Amino acid sequence: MPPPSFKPELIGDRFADHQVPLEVLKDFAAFEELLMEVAKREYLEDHPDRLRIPKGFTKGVELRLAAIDDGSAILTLVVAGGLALMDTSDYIARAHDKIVDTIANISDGRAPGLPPELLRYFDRFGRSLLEGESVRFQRAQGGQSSLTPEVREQLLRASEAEEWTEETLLKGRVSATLMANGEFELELANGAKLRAPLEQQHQGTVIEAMTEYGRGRTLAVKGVVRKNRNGHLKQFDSIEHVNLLHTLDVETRLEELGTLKDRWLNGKGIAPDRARLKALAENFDKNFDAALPLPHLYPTTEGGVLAEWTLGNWSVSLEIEIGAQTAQYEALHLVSDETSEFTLNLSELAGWTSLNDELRQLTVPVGPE
Amino acid sequence: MTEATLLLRQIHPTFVQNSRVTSQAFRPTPKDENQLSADNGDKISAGDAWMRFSAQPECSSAGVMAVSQGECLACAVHVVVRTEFHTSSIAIWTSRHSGGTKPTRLARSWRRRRRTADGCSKRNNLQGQFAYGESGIKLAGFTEKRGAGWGSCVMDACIYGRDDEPPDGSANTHY
Repeated sequence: MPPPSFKPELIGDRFADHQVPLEVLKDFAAFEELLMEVAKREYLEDHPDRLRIPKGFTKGVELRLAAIDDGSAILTLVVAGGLALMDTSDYIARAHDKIVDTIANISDGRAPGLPPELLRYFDRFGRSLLEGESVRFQRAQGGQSSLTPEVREQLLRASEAEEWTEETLLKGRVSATLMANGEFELELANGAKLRAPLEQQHQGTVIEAMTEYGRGRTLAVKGVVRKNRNGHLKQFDSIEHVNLLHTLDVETRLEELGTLKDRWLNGKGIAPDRARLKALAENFDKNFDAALPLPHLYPTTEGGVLAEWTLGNWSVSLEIEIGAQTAQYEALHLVSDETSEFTLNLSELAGWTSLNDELRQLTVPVGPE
Repeated sequence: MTEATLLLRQIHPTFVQNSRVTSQAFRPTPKDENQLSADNGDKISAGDAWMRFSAQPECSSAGVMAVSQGECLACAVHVVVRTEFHTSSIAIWTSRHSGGTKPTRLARSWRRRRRTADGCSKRNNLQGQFAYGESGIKLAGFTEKRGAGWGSCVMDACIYGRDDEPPDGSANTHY
């Protein structure tokens, strides 16, 4: 019997051009552990007379990435393991089918199939998937099943676990460092405080963020965070990286504006659309000249965004209608009253280029004649 | 009301980023019929105005900013009582001369004021331009420096107070 091989397909923008981020491959290490554990259970089901599996049943057996094929990104995973495979390959193939069926069952609202303790492997398998991404498996009896972040959460809830982990990026202020414990405290915008391990390589950045706590300086922290069944974040288990953000960081400010509700301005005011704010942040990041000063950003009562710059004697405002992605530019010279006004189309690169060019002209220092 | 009377305006927290106030703070929306609400500083202190405003449902203020009645007069700006809004010293500041939904001149005048006030803050060790506000926004020096650096602003607006007889006998009074 040839060694089993599986071809899960990764769906999502990150997997275009048959590429797979390394952090996603980490998930498949957890999948391998789950596969072996289920294979052992399958063996014991076939041999009810045995109290334990044979010694060395999975010794040397491992899952290897053999190729990334055409598709969004189709992984070819082969089971390698020499002689031991002769005993285990059938059970591994059955284990794969059982895992895939469990994913399908949960998706369809049925009982999962695997016992709760095995479902806890989904704490790590599927953790790196982002919203809109999935891992699609072929089922033995035909059809497919897909592991999405939502399905993963259903599996974890079915596992009866009190808490599990998520890979996430959170922003907040550093309210304390506890050097003796090797920890720091991240205060989120909603006031919640999360403990996080303070790794040596992050110490300088974290302490700098703490000294600027009073100024509202924001630290972006990417890592694995633990949360309970109610969705409350409890603590960071590990930190991948930290990034001290500019006080005028555009994405962070637009995220803040995205929390506004209708009637935000003392009973008036339309809340800006979150998806459109996110798109604006992405466009800003992609198209705004990084050498130019960042603007102050404010909501408008009509659900738009007002960007303002003070550049020497020039006061510049850009009123952005985030739905149509049009913007009204106005530059006012505060001494001479000279003004410049025009409309920009920010859905096109040309609009951003014009904005960059205008601001660049105003920021160039005037030399002696 | 005298020329020294301060007209106090509440600033929504989202209109402040890094202690900088947006020009929108002095730009009424079309829904406001181009009027801005303010409190009469002779009738209520900035602190009391802030606390009273913040205590109302759905109302939120990061602090209070003000312009003096004298500055308004110098800029041909009108002030009218609007007692129908409040039994206390609520005043409404409107951009009557803007003639449309975009009171550009008002916003511009604020930009000049902000710039001058920023410079004033640095020179006088004042932190920001707030008369009163939540913790984190410094208040010192405002009342002592009232009007400091604001004289050059040209207001395209009207400021309404509460304690003068309306010329036409209505509830509103034009100065």
